[in-house]
Amino acid sequence: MSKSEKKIVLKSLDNEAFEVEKAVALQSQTIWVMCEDKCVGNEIPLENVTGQILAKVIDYCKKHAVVDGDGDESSEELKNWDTEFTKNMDQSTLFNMILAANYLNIKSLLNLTCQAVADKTKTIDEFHTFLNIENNFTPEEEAQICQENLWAFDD
Amino acid sequence: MTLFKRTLVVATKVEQPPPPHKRKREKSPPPPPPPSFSLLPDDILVNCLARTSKSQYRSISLLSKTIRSLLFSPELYTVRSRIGNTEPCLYLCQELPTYDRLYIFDRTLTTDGWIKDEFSLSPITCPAFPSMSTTLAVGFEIYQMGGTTNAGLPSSAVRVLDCRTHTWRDAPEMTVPRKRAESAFIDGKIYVVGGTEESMNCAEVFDLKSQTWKPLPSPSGDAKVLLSRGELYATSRHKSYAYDSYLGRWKDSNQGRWNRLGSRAWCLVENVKFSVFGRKLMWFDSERRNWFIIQGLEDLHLKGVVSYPHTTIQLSYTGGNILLLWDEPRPLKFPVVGKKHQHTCKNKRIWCAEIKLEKHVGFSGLEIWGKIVRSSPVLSAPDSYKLLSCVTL
Repeated sequence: MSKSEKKIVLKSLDNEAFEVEKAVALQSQTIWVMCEDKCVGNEIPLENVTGQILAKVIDYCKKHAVVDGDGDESSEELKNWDTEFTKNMDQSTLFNMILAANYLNIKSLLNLTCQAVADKTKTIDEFHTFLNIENNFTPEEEAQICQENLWAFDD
Repeated sequence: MTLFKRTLVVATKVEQPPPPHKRKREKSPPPPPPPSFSLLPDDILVNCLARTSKSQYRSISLLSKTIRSLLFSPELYTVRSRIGNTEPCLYLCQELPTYDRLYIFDRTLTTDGWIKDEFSLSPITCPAFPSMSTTLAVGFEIYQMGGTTNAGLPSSAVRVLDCRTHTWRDAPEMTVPRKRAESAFIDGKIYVVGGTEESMNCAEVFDLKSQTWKPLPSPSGDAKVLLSRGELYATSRHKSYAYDSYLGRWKDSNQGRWNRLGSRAWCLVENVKFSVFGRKLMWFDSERRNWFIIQGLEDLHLKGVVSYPHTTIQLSYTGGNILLLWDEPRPLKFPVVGKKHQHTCKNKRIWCAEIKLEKHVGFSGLEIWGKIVRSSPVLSAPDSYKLLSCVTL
């Protein structure tokens, strides 16, 4: 296999191109299927991921790729790297990383980013602001939940 | 070329911009609002929620309807179990004159912290939870069998609480009505003894697979069937029997009597049975056919709280450790205006000890050593609250 065949170009939504080792990119099940099915050539357009997010995803995949079996990173080291990787991500980056991991179908990255959400939301207020989910209870439902909780302490 | 080698741009605004060229060179646009996680597919939200402590679920459930329904979905618990983020959850019941109320302690049992009071209990809605029933945790379900209905008559009804969804279903009725019966889950079957009207003690067994109840006849006419530490015994005036649940038949036994003393709490860890005798946590060596004390737990024993004869004890197994739950009577005293005497309120504290087990080969054979990971009171509540079950979810 020549050297160029081992590389692949990933193109983001905003037309940023990233050339990566195939072993790195194939951690994405989505890319793997594209390579298998379509013979898209060396360039794969990823319509749902911006360059900024794709760069981070590639960073992750590079770290986690076992190229030619020389996985010299200890699992401990890799774990620490993972923690650092998501530690300082803000809400919107993490949100987009989750979307990207889901679209690209990289299970371990999806789990890592979901874990990061859980780690960043230790209190109910953090949960509220971080998830930014609109309260969609109807007044009746809200009243019923209150009633159920009241019921515990009515005597 | 190595395009991705560029340094990471600190991300502040990323989400789906309008056409890219339009956005360029704008004078500091207002930061876009943070994206809402409600846009994510349910399975991703479940993935996030499954990694959160269950003690948070009560407050999180008030965030939105969607989140609430996900928190009560069986899928969430499948994920929790897959990623190994399960937690022991304590269920209690409050005994009231005509019926009982069921609660879940919505705090983490195994972390240090303040002692909570009954306000940390979430009620589990149930049209009418009979009193004097026998309850049993099987997997993620709690079986509630018999008890008295409104008229005070014993009932043969069996209802099952799905602890994941907090919903009830009816299971096949027992063959006889019972109140204050006792039950155990042994080798995939539920055994219920006692609590019947007749003077003769009559046992029955529920096969989970076939979902059927069958009477379990006593080995001889006058033998009384008893349940203790996950074993069935029958004693008549002259003879003792033990039930072999694997072969499904009675056999002669010369032990049994002392087995009935003290608490009947027991649990199974990797096929080794553990139970509490008086103040001591013990394990059963199936080769030597005897109970042995767990070494290294002097501190736990010395606390003495286990020694109260009427404390309820629950044993459960979680994440490789044994969880010992018991209650300690602890009256509350209040001064009364104008009186010298204090008013005393019957109260109790529920304790939880987490014990890590290790096997060692000692002089006289296999020994099991325990190390107290933590031991602290977790809940203070009126005397009417009883330990019901501990379910790992």
